[in-house]
Amino acid sequence: MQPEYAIRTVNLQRTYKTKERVLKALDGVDLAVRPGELFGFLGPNGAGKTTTIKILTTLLLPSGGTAEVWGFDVLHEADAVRRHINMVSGGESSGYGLLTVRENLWMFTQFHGMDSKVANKRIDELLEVMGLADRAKTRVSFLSTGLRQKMNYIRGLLTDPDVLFLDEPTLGLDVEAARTLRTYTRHWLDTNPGKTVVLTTHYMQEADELCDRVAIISGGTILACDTPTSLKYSLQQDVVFRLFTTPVAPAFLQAVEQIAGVQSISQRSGDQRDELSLILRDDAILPQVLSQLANHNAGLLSLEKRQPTLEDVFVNLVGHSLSESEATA
Amino acid sequence: MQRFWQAFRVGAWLGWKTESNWTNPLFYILWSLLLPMSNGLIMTMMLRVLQRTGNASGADLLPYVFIGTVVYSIVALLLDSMAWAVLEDRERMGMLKYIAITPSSMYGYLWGRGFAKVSINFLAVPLTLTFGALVLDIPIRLSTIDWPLLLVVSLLGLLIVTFAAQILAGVTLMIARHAGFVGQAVSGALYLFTGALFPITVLPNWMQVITRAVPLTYWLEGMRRALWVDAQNPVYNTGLNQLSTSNLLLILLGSAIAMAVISIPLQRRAEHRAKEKGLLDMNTAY
Repeated sequence: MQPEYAIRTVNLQRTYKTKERVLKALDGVDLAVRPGELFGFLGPNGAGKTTTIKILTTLLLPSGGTAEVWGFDVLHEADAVRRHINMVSGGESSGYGLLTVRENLWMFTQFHGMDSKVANKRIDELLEVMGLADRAKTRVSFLSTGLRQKMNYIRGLLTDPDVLFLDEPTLGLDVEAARTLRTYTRHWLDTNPGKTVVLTTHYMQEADELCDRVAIISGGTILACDTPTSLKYSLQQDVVFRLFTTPVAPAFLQAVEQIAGVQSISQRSGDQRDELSLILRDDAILPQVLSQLANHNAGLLSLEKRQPTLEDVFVNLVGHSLSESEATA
Repeated sequence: MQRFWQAFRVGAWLGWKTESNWTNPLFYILWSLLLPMSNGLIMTMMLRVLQRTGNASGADLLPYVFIGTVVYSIVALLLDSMAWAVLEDRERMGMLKYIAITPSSMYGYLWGRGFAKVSINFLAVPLTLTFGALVLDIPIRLSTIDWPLLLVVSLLGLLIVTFAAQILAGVTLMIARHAGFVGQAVSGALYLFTGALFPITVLPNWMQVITRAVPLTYWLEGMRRALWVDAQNPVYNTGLNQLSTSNLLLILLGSAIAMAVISIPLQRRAEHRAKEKGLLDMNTAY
């Protein structure tokens, strides 16, 4: 029977204690994900995305609060939770190198108690979908990182879980492989009503393209949670500019942040030029920003007014861009 | 129980695949023959040197040492097997977390891995004993082996070691670094404290107390009695020859039950602690 919520957390907390310090990885996370949703976690490294996933997959105990997956408490009913979930993590080279792709996959179906005949049929189907059919008998040690990731993705789907956790699944994949994985994830949800996917990513476009709802998380706290469209709509009353300039100094950014009506400014440094994302309350503030640019001896190369993106929402909520967060993490 | 056997089967299958996949059958048979033969020769030479430098009683301790060392090779293998599986799956393969989130039994899986490791290497034990009997004149004869005793003692001993291995696997789960040395350190220490190499009477008194408290001491003694008809002869002054075989069996049975009672909650506690500290998917790259 389908529960009301695929995932529900109330005031979820997680603290890591070391000899030197106490780190709050999650600080009161409240979530309610309904069956059938593709729910995304968007945030920089260390924001709390993976910690949340670890707790929900019963790998890590929470320090406080409650968490339920498919109606079962992760702390007291971990075995029941495990019957309904699976997980795929990206950016790692996991897998038993001495086993073939098929053997690796078959082994995990046995951990879930699947009938061998059914398991092999499903393995064939998914190998075909992910373009790995000709590698079924290849030892995993001979696979590239991308192909291993595809195999792991198949492992996640093999057991037909009610809740599938995808933790940065496209990390390290080439464009084509990432697209295949995204397309199939959406297809799997569309053809299996009620199945739920929780995706963590720091690719804005991935979250925008795939997710029904997105939670923006930073510092262990959820800053916003809504559909990508609604999140972007929240910036509709603001104006968003993209500027390409000659390299600017940090003092320029500080000066711009002081201007009344500047919601946020973020910088992405490139080769001989900087890209600035600027969110203003009003068009009329722009001349003041440009004047600061001149004051700091920087030149304007191009200027474009554009529709807000999830990146803008993130910058507006967190105060800096995702790439800036990762650079300082 | 069904989950346990299911996971045991998969663990044993994986263990067999990963442990035996490194070579072809011909090399495996050669390795199984050469390893015990070289071990046997080293032991013989060591003992002959010792007999020239000491041994006032003049008793030939070669059968004692030979059987003890050969049987202990299984202890070392099994003791380390589960801890090694934890380490390998977590750190090298990055798969422990994926196993941990399945509805299967972690104990069953680890027992399966241990079983595979022992099974693959088990052939070396009868081969070495045969080598000893034929080449080194160790008095092991098919007609004098106490088969029922051998069966019961082997079973109880393997159970004791398996539960001990489970405890070590639990300890490994909770350790971030140096986890690889846990099994080796314990099996190394037990080599001294089980009378595998020499009669426990040669140890200082305080060491004898420890040795008598280690169940594996009685296992090795039981294996010697089953294989070697003269094992209880007082001339060898083993320190255990006064103990009747029925009492020895009772000690082994009690030890097996005690180890089960201790190891299962300890493993559960270790798993809980590992989840508390976030160690199930740790990769120290150490």
